[in-house]
Order: sequence, then C-alpha cells, then structure tokens
Amino acid sequence: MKDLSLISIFLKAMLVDNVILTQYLALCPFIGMTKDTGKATGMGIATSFVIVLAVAVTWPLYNFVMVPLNLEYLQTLMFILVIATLVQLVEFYLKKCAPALYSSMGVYLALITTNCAVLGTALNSCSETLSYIQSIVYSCGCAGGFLLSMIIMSGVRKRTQYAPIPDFLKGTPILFIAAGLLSLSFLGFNGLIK
Amino acid sequence: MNKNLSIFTNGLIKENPLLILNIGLCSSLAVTTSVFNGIGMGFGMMFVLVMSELIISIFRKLIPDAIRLPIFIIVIAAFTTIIQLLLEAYMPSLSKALGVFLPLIVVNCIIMGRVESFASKNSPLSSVIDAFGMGFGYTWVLVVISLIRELLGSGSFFGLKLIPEDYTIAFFSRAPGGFFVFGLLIAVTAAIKKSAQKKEGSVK
Amino acid sequence: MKQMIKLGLILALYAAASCFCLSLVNMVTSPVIAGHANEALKAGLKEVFSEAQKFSDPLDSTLYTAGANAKIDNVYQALDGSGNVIGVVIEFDGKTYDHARMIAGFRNDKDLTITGVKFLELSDSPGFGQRAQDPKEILKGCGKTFYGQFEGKKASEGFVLGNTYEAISGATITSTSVGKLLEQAAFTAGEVLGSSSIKAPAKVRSTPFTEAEALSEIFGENTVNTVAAPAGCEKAFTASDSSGVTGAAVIVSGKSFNDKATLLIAVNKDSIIAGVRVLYLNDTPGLGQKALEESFYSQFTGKKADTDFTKSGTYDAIASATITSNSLAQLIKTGAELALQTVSQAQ
Repeated sequence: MKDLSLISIFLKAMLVDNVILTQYLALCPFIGMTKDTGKATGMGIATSFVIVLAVAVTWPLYNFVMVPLNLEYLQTLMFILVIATLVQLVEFYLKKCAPALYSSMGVYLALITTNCAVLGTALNSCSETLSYIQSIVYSCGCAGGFLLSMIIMSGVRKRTQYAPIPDFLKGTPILFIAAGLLSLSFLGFNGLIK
Repeated sequence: MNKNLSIFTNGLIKENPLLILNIGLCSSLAVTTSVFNGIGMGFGMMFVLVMSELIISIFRKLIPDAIRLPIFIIVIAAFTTIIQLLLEAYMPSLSKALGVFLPLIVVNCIIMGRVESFASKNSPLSSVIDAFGMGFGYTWVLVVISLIRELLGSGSFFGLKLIPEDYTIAFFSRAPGGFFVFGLLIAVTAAIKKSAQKKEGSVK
Repeated sequence: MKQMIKLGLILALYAAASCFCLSLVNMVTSPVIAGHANEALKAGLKEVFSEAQKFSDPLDSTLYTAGANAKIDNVYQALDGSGNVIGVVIEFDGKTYDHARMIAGFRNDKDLTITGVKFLELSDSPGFGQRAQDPKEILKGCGKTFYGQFEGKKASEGFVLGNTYEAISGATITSTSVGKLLEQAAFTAGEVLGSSSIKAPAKVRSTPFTEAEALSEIFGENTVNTVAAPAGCEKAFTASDSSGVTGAAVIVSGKSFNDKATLLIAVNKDSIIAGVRVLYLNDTPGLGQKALEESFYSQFTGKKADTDFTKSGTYDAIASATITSNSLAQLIKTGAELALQTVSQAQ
C-alpha cells in the first residue's frame, strides 16, 4: 500500500478495505448504535475523530520511540493506553463545549475505547509501514468508511422496521443478513485499486 | 458446587456472549474461515479472559474505583501481548492466520464486560469458572461458524479436503458469507429459545 | 490533589508490573521468533541453490554496482560444508508487466551456471504473466515450468527471448522483462564472484524514441538516407552499406486510443521486420503506454513484414489495452507494407 498515491490510499481504506464491511471491525457500534440515523452519525463522527487522532499520536510513538528502543512487544499495551487517554480527553472536551451531544451519547462515548476500528487502524498503519502523511490519509479513509457504513446501515434499518420480516429473523439476524448484502455490494469495489 | 456449575453453563448457553449478548463480534467473523483458526482464536481469547479475570479478581480490593478502567485495560493488554508473543514463537502459522485480530483481543467487549461486571465483584474461583464458561461459549460458536464457512467455502474440514474445489462457494469464505452465516445462526438460536420458552410456558 | 497523585502512582505501579512481566516473556520468546524468520529465508535460498550447505549473511551493498534494470535487494554467498564460496544467490526486484521480486542462484564457474530461479512476488496479469510462476504451467518447447527452465542454463550466454530461453505464449512483455531482470542479476553475480563473463546490461527505456535514435538503433552502422515518402507515410529512409541497400524504414501516424500514434517501422531487404520503434504515443499510462516498453515493440523484430498484424495471434497485445494494441497493429501492418515498397523501389 505504501506505493500508492494518497488519493488511492484514501479510497482503498474507505471503500475497498472498508473497516466494517470488509475488515469486520467495529461491529458492536454497527449493531448497537444504528437504530437512529442521528445517533449513528454522531457516533460515527466522534469515532472518526478518535481514529484519526489515535493514528496521529500512535504513529510517532511507535516509529520514533518504540522501534528504536526495541519495544515493539509493548505495542498493544501502549496503543490501547494512548487511545483510552485520548477518549478521556475527547469526553472532557465534549462535556465542556458540547454538553448536549455529550449527554445524548452517554456511555457509548467511553465505549469508543473498545472500538476495534480505532486500535485496528492504528495497528494496520504501523504494520503496513506507511509514512506519517500516508498514515493520516489512511486513517481518514478508514474513518470515512466507518461513517459511511454507519449511515447506510441506519438507513437500511429504518426501512426494515416496516418491512415484512419472518418472525425468526426479526431483530439482530436480519441486521446481519442486511450487513452481509451491504458487504457483498462493497465487494464490487475490489478491482478499484490494486 | 451447583452455583459454580450454573456459572459455567451460563456462559455456554443462557448468556452466550456471541449469540445472546451480541458482544465480542469483531474477531468472531474475521477469523472463522477455517476451523483451525476458529479454535485458535477461541482458545487465545479464553486464555486472556481467564488470566485477566483471575488477576483482577485477586486484586479487586486493591483497585481504586476511579481508575479501574485503565487498570483493567493494562492487565488485559498485558495478557493479550503475552499470548501474542507465545503464539508467534511456538505456533507461527496460527499467529499469522489470526493477523491483526490477535492484538485486537484486548478490545474484545466480552473480556472488558466480564471483568467489569463479574470479576471485580466476585471471588477468584467463581471468576475463573465464569471465564471458562464464557470462553467455551465463545469458542463453540466460533467452531460452528467456521465449520460451516470452511466446509462450504473451501470444501475442507480442519484442513482435510472433503469437497472438490469446483463445488466450493467462495462467497462463504469472504466477508458477506460471515455476516450471513452469523445472522442465520442467531436466528436459529432465537427460534430454539422461543420454542423452549413456549414449551416451558405450556408445561407451566 | 493528593488523591490524584496517589491514584496516578497506583496506576503507574500496575503499568510497571505489567511491563515487567511482558519483558520477561519477550526475553524468552524473541529468540524463537527470530529463529523462525531465519529458517524461512534459508529454506527459500536452498530452493534455488540446493547444493549449498550454508548461506552467508547479506553482503555489503557497496561490493556491487546498483542495477539499471533491477534493484538488487540482497546478495548471499552460497557455501559448501567447508565454507568455500560455491556460488551466490541474488535477491532482486524490478519491473515486469507490473512488478516481480525473485531470487536466482548462480554457480561459481566460468559460465555462471544458473542453479535455480524462484519468484517471491509477481503481480502480473492472472492468466498471462502470472503463469510465469505457476508450477503447473509446462512450456511446450522445453517441457519445464517458466522459472524452472533456467536451471542449468549458462548465464554467460545471455537471456534472449526465443533464443536462449522460452517465453510464455501470450505473455511476451512478462517473459522479456524477466529476462532483463535475470540479466541484471547475472551481472551482479559476476561482479561478486569476480567473473567477467557477463557484461553490464544496458538500461531498458520506456520513453519514445527520436527519429535519429530509432534509426541508429535499428540500422546501426549502415548509412541512412532520406528518400521520397510513398503516399500514406510521413517520411521514408533507406539503409545501405558497402554491398547496397540493406533495408528501409518509414514513419507512419494514425489514431490510437487518446491521441495519435507515430511509429517507425523498418524492414530489411529479406522482407523481415528489422524493428519497430514508437516515436509518439499518448494513451493511458500503465495500459496503452506500455507499448513504449522494449518488451512490447521488440516482439515484432524478426517477424515477416507481410504479416497481417490485424489478425489475432500474430502478436501479443497488451492486456486490457485492446484499442491501443489494435491501432498500433494496424499502423505496423501499413508501415511494413510501405517499407517493403520503399525497399523494392530502392533496389
């Protein structure tokens, strides 16, 4: 991936390797928070912000501190601590500046810490040995893909509310089938970028 | 003894993390393309869960409430890294197959959830039993999913080729197949649960 | 405040304890992990040089010159049981249709005999260039796989497609470029082993030719004269030496995918195409523009000048660049006819 242009990296991260629909990350908020388009968008934007911020902080930490000191084995530990701290800071900031949004998100804001997409994106950008700018673009692509999937799914969910669904599929099962169909459609992006 | 048994079976069926509580989903779909990977992931996650619940339960009186979440994270991350290193050294093929999902065990909602709701409030013995219950509950669902996906998608079972390649349906090995199989599995579980409840209701 | 400090200290204590345990585990496991990587590398090297007992660490890159057509990634000496250097294994990568990374083993003898060739990575088109690394693809001529055919060949004889090695049918560009990469690797092997039987390969170009460059490359020492251009071409030339006219060339233009294309087509007096060169092309980079690469235009050299290139099977088109390929084929057919005309008029 490091040989691609920046726009290619962005599109690849957003569409071809979509965090939710192709890489299977962040399924918990995908299932849990897409009941309402407003909530889904809010969660999507907050998580997107954390994804980009996380990569922005963890990349220099890994490449300038951990690798030279041969501390790669502490990667999981350090990254998740950084992410937890960042989420705390975002919580702080939201409480002060946008209390309405803060109260509407409730406990889900803290749950961004355990969002696989955040840690997954940070780990991926280090393992693919991207440069700093490339990592930022990659994380923006991942964040965009996450937001896109959340919004699409909440729209789909709204439709299924009034659709005639067989009893045994009602609730979570039909969500997964819908997610499977969405994922199938995103497979079509496969040839977009090598 | 009865209490411990009920704690164990709780994780297996009644409060199965994947099928009933719908948590810890991320890793369950990505690694279930083959039974070997499914079992590997299940046991890896179980190791982290058991050790984390054990340690946190032992130290539960010594963890200040205000910073309990960061401490949980540190402990879980430490054990995740340990299993990462052990697998990379002694089972490199499994470590490579699980890829990024091995370090992602640290953000597995199941572990965080159980540690927060069970281990921090119960004795070490109960916590370990709960961990094993949840772990096996997680593992058996993974095995079922990967059985279906491996059989239909690659035509093999645990590496033994059973169905010739021309008749395999690649759909099941890719992302959409995972969603489908899992959705149907949840539907089947819900249906079984409903009919069990109906039976109970009619007996009563 | 005091509370916060106390909490911070407790947190730090837990963190420190965890890091300590982790470093213990790491100390135990990291040598095992490093051992795995080493094993995989040695296994790969042994595949191309089975006679070697051991391999050296990668040699210092200052010991050999940088490649013009391929990047030399690593050079390993192949050693026998007593530590004598019996050959080298070169790890190199470069441009094929897309990209390839390979290893090749060369024995330390007069001709730098090849002990084995293996693809580490190959990202060419499935069904075409990808067959170069397919163990099930057996070439009709030599009865071996594409990469297997090099085993036992003498690197000093050079890598000439169709001559010293066989191509994959339908994948000329891949086949030619792999030859160029191996040529570069052989040169480096010669440098490291102190053999002078391989000369430095010329850099492969992928830019348009000027008229002068094209004529001098095709006709070499022969005298080139401009003659009256027959209808249908822009310019015409004849080439002659002391014995008379040896060949002719014309410049033709026509519509290609995006823009026009200008080609120089040369034939010799035996009605065989002496060469085709692209003077101007402005099609899609990575697709039609591949026609600028030597591996495309060199395939016409040696073909009969009256071949109808618009018929399929007469040449290998560029995969996914059908319009460009067809337009160029049409131009080459027209140009060859006009060049033949010019040659016969001059004689």
